[in-house]
Amino acid sequence: MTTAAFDTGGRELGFHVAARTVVGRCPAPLNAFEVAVILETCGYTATRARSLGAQSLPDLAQHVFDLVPLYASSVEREAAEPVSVKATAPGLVDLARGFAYSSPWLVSLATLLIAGVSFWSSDVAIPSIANTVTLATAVALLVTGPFIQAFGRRASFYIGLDDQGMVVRITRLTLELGLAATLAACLVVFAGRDLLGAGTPATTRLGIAAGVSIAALQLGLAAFYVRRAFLAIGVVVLTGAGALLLLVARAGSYVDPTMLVVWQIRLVALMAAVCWVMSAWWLLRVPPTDHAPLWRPSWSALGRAVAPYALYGVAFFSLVVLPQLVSCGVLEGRYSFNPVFAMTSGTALVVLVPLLAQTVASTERLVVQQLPAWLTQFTVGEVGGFRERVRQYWRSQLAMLLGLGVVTAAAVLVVAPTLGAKVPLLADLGHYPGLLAASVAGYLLLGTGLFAAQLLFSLSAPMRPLAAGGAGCAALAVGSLATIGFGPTVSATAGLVCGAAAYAVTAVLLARDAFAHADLTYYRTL
Amino acid sequence: MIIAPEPRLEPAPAPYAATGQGRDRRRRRRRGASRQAGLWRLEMTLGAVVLVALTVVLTTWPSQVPARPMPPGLALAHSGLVVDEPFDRAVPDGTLLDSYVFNGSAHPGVGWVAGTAHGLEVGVHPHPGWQGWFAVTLHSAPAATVWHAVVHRPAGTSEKPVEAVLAVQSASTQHNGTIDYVVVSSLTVHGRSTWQVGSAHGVVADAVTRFLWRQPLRRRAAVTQAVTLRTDGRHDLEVWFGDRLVYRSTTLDMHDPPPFQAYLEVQAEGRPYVAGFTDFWVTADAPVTVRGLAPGSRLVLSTGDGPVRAVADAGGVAELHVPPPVLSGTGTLVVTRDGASRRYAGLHYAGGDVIVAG
Repeated sequence: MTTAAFDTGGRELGFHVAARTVVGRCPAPLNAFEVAVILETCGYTATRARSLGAQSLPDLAQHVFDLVPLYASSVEREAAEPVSVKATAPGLVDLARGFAYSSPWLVSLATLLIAGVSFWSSDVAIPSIANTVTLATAVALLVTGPFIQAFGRRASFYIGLDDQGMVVRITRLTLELGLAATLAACLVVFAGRDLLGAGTPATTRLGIAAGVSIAALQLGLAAFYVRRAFLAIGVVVLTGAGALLLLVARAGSYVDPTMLVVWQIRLVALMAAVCWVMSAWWLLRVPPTDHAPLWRPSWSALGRAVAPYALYGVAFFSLVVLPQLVSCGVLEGRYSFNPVFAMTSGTALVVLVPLLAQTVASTERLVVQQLPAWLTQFTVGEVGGFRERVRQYWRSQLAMLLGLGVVTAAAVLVVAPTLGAKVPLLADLGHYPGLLAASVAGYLLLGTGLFAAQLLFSLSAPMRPLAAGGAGCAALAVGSLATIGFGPTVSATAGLVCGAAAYAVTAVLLARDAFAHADLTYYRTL
Repeated sequence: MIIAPEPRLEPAPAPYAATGQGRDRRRRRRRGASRQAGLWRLEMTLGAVVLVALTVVLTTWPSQVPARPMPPGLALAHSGLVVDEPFDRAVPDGTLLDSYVFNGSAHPGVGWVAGTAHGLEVGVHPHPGWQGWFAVTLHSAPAATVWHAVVHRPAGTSEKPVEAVLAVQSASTQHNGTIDYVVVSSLTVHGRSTWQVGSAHGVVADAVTRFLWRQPLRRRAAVTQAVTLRTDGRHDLEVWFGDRLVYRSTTLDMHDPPPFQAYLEVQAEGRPYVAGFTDFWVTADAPVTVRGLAPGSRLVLSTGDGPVRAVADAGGVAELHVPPPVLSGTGTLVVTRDGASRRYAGLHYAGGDVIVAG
């Protein structure tokens, strides 16, 4: 006894009953995948779904999820486009997007080389300025790291909820607080150096300005990453780099290094200001629905939610920055720029470029395409097949990453020393093959650890990357302290290699474990 | 650093007409939300402006030229002075490092610099071999510049060679390692001393000096010398000791690319040594221009090297061509017109200055 009208009403009624059932179990399901899991645990099968008029259990889940707002507190929707269930490797577009992620520091490095600025190399014209700017960079990276991670994780969530109030709150808690913290840190560090007689009046002011400007740019770009505004990032960064190169070109054959540094920092501040204004008026602006949220967390609750990400940010940036500080003699109670370590580690840093691109490509494809496709295909009862797909993806992506890393590392080791004859900044590189090889190995390991950590983050498993970061920091400290007798350059390189190795091994093992025990609760990541 | 953001979520669905269920009850406007968001955006914009302004203020580099108050009736429209360091009082190392870089072939700790009430002292402690230390100006100056310093060497003698040096060197050394400079130095060896002028070329530590002028080695050579030099880095070089021109050539083949930096330097073989520098100034190799005068006005500027005279042209502009050894100094300017004179005492002038009268 089926008529079109009755069928429509009957199906709708069945959907509403299912929606009430789901809401009874879970007041705020995140998406249709979660609804499907709940329905299955409540006894809904594919047969029953078809009897209600749906094509399958996932189809029923989709209809039920559409009804959930009428009965419960969820406003989230998911928009998983149907894609191939087969795991496919990231393509050129994915890799290009990955490179775009790295564009700010790639452009920065290229600009420094073209402009002949020497913080990256052994050719340091003015030690007091080199000390100041490198120390300011280290402070800015260390302090902003946790705030950027926390913002990246939560801001898009509140943007998705169209909750401008929470976007403002999370921006204040992370980006604005991060800038204030950097200012405080720079004041303490540089005023302290001045009091100890290690600084000069002008470089103390320069250090504060450099630290705050670099931090402001780092924090200002965070909203661009969250919104995936790669074109806008490119425009801002390339415009800044172009302005600096124009300045250098107009200066003639000789550029006053002090003025170059001053204008660099001013340009960074200007780029940061543009980023903050664009974030406020464009990137962090949500549609003006202004609906009243049912639940708005307190500051402390928000802090607890972002704490693991923030702590991971501290750990990761410690791995990146602490070797530089060690190389400058921090363990010996001083800070003087180490041109040898800066040159070898700066060159080795190139290894990270393809690794970061591959990391971004793998993560994006997993979250945006593969997981939704698999979750559509598999039910709770078919978790074995799901796990097999996930494991396959993990192994293939890790193999591709390592392949890319080894090829790039070999290229850097072979090509970079030969550039010394043509690029004055790298003139001494050929004298330190051991340090270069060790630094390359260190960054290869760091990139591998980062890859595993990012995939774990994409599964909403922040504690595992945090553990890896903690292990890396501990190993870095042990490695540096154990080799302190060999001088700051060796101590820093040993710390970098030990820390990156511990980070990589821990992250890869934890990621392998996570992927081996995959289950359908991954709908929470989508 | 990579951020793994959570995906964008879609807005709530449309109501279900068939069952009569209404719209999501949470879709009501929250009072004041737009105003608060607008205030936050203004807060961010204001913060961005403050950031840029603060950065500009903090990165403004201290000048090596102190403020020069003009006598009443005169105003300094443009300063030609690049460096003006009398070194007549103690200066902390940190302050010196904002204007100079200390470096040399000696190790840090062996080479040292101190700003004392007796001048800028540059020295080396006991060390093996021929080593030196210098204070080089952070900023550079173009070819059309006059360089001046009073150089002091210790009164004692030395069997091993020791030098007190004022050098003017191509600033490109810091970028490509080439060393091209002209030098005036006091050499002491075998118990005798001399002052000499040279031109050097080389790469990093291999510069070869060609001496262009030198006094004979004597037991009683001058301990202090006011040195002034002017060069274009290619063919021209003039050196004065006090107000005496001791060397001049317009046919040299030097290939020293401008801009230049001054090196206040000491070199010694094995033993400790120290050189002192006072009244260090660098200024544009140009006349002192006075504007805003009545046409035909007669100007007399009294300098340490006698009066310098000029007459204002029809446009009311006069150019005072001050000799290089006293191109920066303090004097009295007298402007006379139709028998009436106006006197400007205590005028701190420098080559390249543009001063407006009236």
